[in-house]
Amino acid sequence: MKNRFSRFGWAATTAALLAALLGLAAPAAQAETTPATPSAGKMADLRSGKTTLKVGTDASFPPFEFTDANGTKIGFDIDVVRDLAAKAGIKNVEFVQMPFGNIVPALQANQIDVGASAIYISPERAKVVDFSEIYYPGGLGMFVSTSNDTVKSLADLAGKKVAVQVGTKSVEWLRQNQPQAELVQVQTNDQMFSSVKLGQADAVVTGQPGGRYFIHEQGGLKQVGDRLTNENYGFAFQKTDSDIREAFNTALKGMQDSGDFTKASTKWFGDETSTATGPAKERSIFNVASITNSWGPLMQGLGTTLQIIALSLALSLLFGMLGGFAKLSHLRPIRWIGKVYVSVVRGTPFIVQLFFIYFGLPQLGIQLSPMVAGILALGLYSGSYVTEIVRGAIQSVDKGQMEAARSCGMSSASALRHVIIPQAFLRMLPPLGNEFVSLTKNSALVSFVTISELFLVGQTIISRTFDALTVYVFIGLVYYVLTNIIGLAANAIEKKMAVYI
Amino acid sequence: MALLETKEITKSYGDHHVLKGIDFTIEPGEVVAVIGPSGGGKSTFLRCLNLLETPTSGHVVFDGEDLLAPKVDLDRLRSRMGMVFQQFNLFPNMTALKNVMLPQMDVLKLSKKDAEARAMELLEKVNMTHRAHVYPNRLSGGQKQRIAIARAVAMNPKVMLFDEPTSALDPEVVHDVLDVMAGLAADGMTMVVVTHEMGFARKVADRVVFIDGGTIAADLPPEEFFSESNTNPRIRSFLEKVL
Ligand SMILES: Nc1ncnc2c1ncn2[C@@H]1O[C@H](COP(=O)(O)OP(=O)(O)OP(=O)(O)O)[C@@H](O)[C@H]1O
Ligand SMILES: [Mg+2]
Repeated sequence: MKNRFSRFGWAATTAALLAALLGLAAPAAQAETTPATPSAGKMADLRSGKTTLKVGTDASFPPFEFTDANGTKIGFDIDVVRDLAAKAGIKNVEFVQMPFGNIVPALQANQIDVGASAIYISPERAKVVDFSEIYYPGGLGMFVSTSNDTVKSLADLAGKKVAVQVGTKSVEWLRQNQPQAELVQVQTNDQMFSSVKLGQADAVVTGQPGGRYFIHEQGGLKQVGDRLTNENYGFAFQKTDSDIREAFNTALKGMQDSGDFTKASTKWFGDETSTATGPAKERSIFNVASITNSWGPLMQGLGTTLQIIALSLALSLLFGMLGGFAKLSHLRPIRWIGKVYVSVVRGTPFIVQLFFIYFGLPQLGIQLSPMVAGILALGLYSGSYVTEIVRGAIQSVDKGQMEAARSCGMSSASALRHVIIPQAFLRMLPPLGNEFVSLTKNSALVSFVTISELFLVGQTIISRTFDALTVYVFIGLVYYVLTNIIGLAANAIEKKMAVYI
Repeated sequence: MALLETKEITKSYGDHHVLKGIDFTIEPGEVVAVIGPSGGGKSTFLRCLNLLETPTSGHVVFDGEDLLAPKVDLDRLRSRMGMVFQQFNLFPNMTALKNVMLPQMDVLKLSKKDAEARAMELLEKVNMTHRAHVYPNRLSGGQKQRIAIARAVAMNPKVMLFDEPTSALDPEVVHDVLDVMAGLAADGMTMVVVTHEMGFARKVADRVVFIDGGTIAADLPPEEFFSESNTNPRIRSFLEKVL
């Protein structure tokens, strides 16, 4: 199931690992199962165009199914299913986006007719859905640099460095079947291939289709030896839809015989010979196309990032104000709360707090959406620094100011509001500016809880284009601009407010 | 009845006994100059009068109300006792005019218009109308102190407390501030003035209170206090140093 993991990227993988570590038995959301009634008329309705064939897919797994810059679903599965449906005489096909884990339950619930999402044919799944014939061989494969002549079989991996993606099936499989291999565990799919190209590892063990796709896109690697595991992809159908499944099988046979299938496979994976020894492809160092082709998703990611920053910034100010005043309170228990807040939050890594909130709290019955968890974690973390900024700034206001206000009969709340806080705020601005620059940079870390913000969008693009250089330079640049805007804004506000200094 | 009265007030910081039982009264319209050597407890005494410092024991009675009674509305009472500080303590984040307006609006609940009218009237009195819209950082010490006095007077206090109002000023502007204070006294304001300005004590005050070592060592009319016949050795040595 290596490929199933890699499609969610390293963030989800790490997350899943952590969830497992925490002993989180997150039960998969079981869709309401309504028994599908067998209807002889279903196929007829599909053929007449009265109904539409609904195909469930998780379009985040290139080259099987993913989206182009416009958000249109493309990929090998998409092409093949369209062709098969046409050959079966089905008029209308609609692809329905859903998380991979929901596809089988959706079939059971009669919400979709076909599952086409690089699904391995497994005995467990076959109990609840029916599968078509094998349409593509999956399983683990071994890949090395084109210039490598020493690694030809699994046995040759003894004592060699083998790149694997953390948390994927390859790791466990190699430990059992080639324990002498030295595993280089990397976070993302593309880092695996890069490490071989850059000489940081001797070989990659990963899903065969993923490896072939990389060679098709990038070259420089070749597949060696036989397939290491025997897993195959099939299309999934409702148990009651044997007529649709039969029609697909017949059409698949026809596609294979006519050569159409090879065409589709070559389009997405390259032809068999080239995948064996793909020469490194010539590429310029920067590929503007890596950015422009994904402009839509990138801007969406930026939008999400801005939203996260704005909301967590507001939260950070709120926590910072509360914390700061708590630390200045003359009530000991309240001072103590402020102290504990700052010392705990500043004394532990942000990523631990984020995972605690997202993966740990559900054990206490507090289930937060990724977005809420991410914003809350960022706000809490940054708020602890703002607490100290607020406390320091208020304490730095001359105590004669409070005395003057109180001696006029002003309440301490009024004095704070009109006299102390306005002066303190001006002193807070430079350190607040710094803190919000940090917050902006830290916001990239919430990609760990599967929020599709700028950084995660970038990683998704890299998983498709393997162009880490261009994408990271671009993303770095965007953050650079953002942080500088914050810095300039803080300066401008300070200047404007500092009329009385 | 006395407007303001202290009964046996003491103030200690740990085992440092700064005030050692002070009995003091002031009648409406009186001007009392408080003088004495540095560290004698003058500021501490003055700050006990409006409870910026809480006395360790004793009573402070203002206008018939015990300031140390459990449920007393201190803010309301303080609004009727103006205070002027050595370091001015103007609010730097607002203009001179706003400094004078803020307590009127916040405490007396005056409308903005009324507060501004009254503020301008008082700035006129202290000769500061031309600097009304200036932030304190652009004002000289003497100007700041006159604004601070206007801010306190704007509250219509029954008594004004001054803690060395001219000690932080350049000598040439000391008189501007003292003139304003003499004007207030002439208008009948009740005033307690901690000062090193012996001329002011002599000419304007009705009584001179000498605080030394945390006690009132003398409480006399100025002509008696400064006369050759006052032979108190502590006062003599103090006066020799300052005159
Ligand atoms: N908050 C405090 N904590 C400890 N000691 C204090 C505090 N405030 C004042 N003191 C001490 O109390 C004593 C009297 O101080 P105070 O300021 O009242 O004197 P002063 O007569 O006003 O002197 P000066 O003429 O120098 O202003 C000094 O010894 C001072 O150190
Ligand atoms: Mg003093």
